[in-house]
Amino acid sequence: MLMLLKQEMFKISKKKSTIYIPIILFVLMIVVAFMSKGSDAKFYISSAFAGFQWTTILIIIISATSISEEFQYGTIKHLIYSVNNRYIIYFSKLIFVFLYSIYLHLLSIVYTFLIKIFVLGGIPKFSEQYLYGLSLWKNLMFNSFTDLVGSLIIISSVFCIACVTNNGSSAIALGIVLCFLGEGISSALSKLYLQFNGIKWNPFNMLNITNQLGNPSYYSITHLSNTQLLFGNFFYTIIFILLGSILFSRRRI
Amino acid sequence: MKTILEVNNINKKVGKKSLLSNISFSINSSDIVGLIGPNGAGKTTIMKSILSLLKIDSGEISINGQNINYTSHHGLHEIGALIENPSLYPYLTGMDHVRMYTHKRKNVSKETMHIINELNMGKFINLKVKKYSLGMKQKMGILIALLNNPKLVILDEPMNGLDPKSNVELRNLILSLSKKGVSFLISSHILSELEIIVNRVVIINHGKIINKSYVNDLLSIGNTYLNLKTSNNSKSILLLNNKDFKTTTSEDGTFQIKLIDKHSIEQIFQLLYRNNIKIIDFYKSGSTLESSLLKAIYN
Repeated sequence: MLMLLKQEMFKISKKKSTIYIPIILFVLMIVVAFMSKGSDAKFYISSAFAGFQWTTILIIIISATSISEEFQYGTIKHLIYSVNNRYIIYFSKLIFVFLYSIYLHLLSIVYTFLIKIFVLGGIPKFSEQYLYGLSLWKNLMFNSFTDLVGSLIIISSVFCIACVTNNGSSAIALGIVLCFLGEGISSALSKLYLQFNGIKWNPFNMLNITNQLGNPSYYSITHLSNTQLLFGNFFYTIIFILLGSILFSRRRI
Repeated sequence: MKTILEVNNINKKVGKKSLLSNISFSINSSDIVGLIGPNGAGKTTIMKSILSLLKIDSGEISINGQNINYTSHHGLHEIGALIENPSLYPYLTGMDHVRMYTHKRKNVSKETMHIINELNMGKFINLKVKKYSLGMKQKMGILIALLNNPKLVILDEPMNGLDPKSNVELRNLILSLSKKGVSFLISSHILSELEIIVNRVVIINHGKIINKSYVNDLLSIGNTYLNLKTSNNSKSILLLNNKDFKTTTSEDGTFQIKLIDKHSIEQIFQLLYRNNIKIIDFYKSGSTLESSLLKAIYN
């Protein structure tokens, strides 16, 4: 597995996107920072100037292409006979994309500090109190952590989609639609949660975890506590990982 | 002689159609085995089964005595392969592929450089693969198959897209590696090239093996002829026909005699000598791998 992880890192180091992604992320966050001037600065700082949302889109793209390019270029053949079984390939890619997600989240935090200092100046201070009795920078760290956890369900579900689609573009498109439309679907279903209790545990509702942590009033939509949302995220992540690994191992070469 | 690959009674069906039926053969070290058959015969299916790219319904495959199957195939570490089209990342250079698959980030090994030189890849190995021609990609695929000193190399139509000079380079490389103990399983439609390098053949048609033999034995399936020009062709033909030799005349002043067995040439020369007929010119012609293959498949 270590050999495959090194190969993934080698491949991504050779892609042009490795240089463009940090630049694009920075530019997008700066744009949001300028737009946020005069409004709720603490909210935007704690949510990394929408950096986590942009990171989600980038992770969907990385996840989809990680799987689909191997089938598209035929390189899956070499991968299969160079390891003991196919699951090793699947899990090494999963681990790699999660590590890349950690990298993008850390980048978002670093950029937030820089952008806050140079665009918003000294106010508000990072040490000021914000949600849950925590300081602003602790809220930022907390949101980053929960978004990282939330990214697991996205990575695993996009991996599933990529295992059944014929090209990366379809997987990317479907992943983005399900991720961002999913929150809307969950909102639309929220009226049914009181009548049919079990429906609130649907996977789309789990995507609201970051929103709810940044804005506790989201409870009226999700009808789940933060702990329940966290548990639900882990549960569905495991389900999608297992499903994806089976689909990957059985996919015809 | 060590057995590298053992294929025992493998079967594969898709729906009602049988893709492979009771396929059994083995490859020893230094063997160069030609896997031959018409389109759709099952050659690539066999290769994919060996590499665990395809799940077989029954049978056993072992590499160096170690059983391999679809879900667990530790023994495949000693195999290199080129199956169907070369599998390359377009955004990497050829050398990037070498570094990635040999886990050497800086200097590649002497053996790898030797293969790169033998295949004349020095001019384009540092270019990105998306700029490669078909022949360059094919060479890259072969190079990848030969990385990390494999004991068995499986090549599916390796000569596709290669010019005649490159074919010679590849042939010489395969022969030199075979002398060092590397075994090859090669499928190709260019039988004239295959005939030069393989020592054994496995002929397959409709998913079944119809012949497994050494090349020399296969060539004996076809007909061999003696072409003669004598001082009296018509008398020679009459004499030979009386001795049950079949003859046909050619426009170039020679006539052709179909040889019956290994004593035929001696009998023909003695017959002509006893009848005072002088032999002006003679040569042997007949079986090629192609003619023997067609006879084996369609008979």
